[in-house]
Amino acid sequence: MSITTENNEKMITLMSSDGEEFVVEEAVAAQSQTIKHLIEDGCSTEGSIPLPNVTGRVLSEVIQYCKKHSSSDDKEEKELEAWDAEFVKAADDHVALTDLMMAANFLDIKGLLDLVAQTLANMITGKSPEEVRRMWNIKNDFTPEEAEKVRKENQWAFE
Amino acid sequence: MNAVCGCPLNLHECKLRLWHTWGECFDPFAKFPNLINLTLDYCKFGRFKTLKISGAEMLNLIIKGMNYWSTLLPQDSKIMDMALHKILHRPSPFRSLKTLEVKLYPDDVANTIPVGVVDDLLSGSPYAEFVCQVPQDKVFDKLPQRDSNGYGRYGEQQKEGQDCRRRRRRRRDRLSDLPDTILQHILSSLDTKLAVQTSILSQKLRHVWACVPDLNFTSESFTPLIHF
Repeated sequence: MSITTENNEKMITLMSSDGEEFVVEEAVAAQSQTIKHLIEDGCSTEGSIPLPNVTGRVLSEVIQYCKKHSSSDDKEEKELEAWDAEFVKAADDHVALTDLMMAANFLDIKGLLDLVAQTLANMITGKSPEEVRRMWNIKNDFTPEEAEKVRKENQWAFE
Repeated sequence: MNAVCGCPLNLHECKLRLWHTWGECFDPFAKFPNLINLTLDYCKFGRFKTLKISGAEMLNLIIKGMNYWSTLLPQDSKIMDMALHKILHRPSPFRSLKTLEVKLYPDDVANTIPVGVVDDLLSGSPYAEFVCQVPQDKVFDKLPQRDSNGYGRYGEQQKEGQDCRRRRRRRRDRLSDLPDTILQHILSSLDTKLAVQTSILSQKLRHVWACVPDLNFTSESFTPLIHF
């Protein structure tokens, strides 16, 4: 539904996969390129914009990010960086981060995508393959011979 | 039939952005009149509602990873009708379509295709044989809000499905579940040497690093010169 507030800011309703509705300013929602294009196409004039790939829990975090980033200007870059760091810390466990990553990818929010990718990359850095596997529940489906072959293929990286 | 001359066109994880407005015709595959096989694998349709797929000779249309494609399909019937109209009700768009394969992935919320859509697809192509690959444990956990048109017949399964989903969630390999494009994004944020090391983790990750768009080497990645 598109309604207008007192200060003439157009509001957009986003609906998560589990039916939760979020009313946000258009400028906030438009941080997502996907939503921006939908708005431009006039998809938001009737009813809410359904986002069937994003759950309410994830969407509320995404909106939090978008709100912060639509209200800050370049001057506050330092502060914004600190805020980002706190933001991903709050979503600390990697399951929440992968959900956030999927949502950022689907909604096409580059800043958030980069932020989460970097956070996940940092989590992998400095860990042994076994630790990374445990962290992500990755099943080692290589036979010892295959593993050796993979190592040999790119030996330089394992030295 | 000109099927022998047709060449398969497979698009994997590509972004198809169709920039145009309502009412305008846009047929991205019009330049491939001999197209007989079309695979849309996790394709992203920015403005899919006016997408047209033509091809009188089309035999196989495979759409995998419906999550992007069906962004608006299940819930907004206005847009859905528009999409179906464009895709199906052009003058016999798939006269010779024999197989329409829609693969549904268990963990994708948006992959619940309303039954009505399937029926419409079938009626749009009378000779079609609909192959819908739904995994056994497919969870229909989100339903279209409107069922006046017969959409959302999976209602009874919803609650049970949600429970299953929650149980399975804990032990899943979250990293390998991510689409390759996202994995590449994560790996491109890593030092390239580390990214290459991820190839040892599992078969799925073996070659992902090779598609990373940015390489990022630092001198620290390598043995100091003194070792030479």
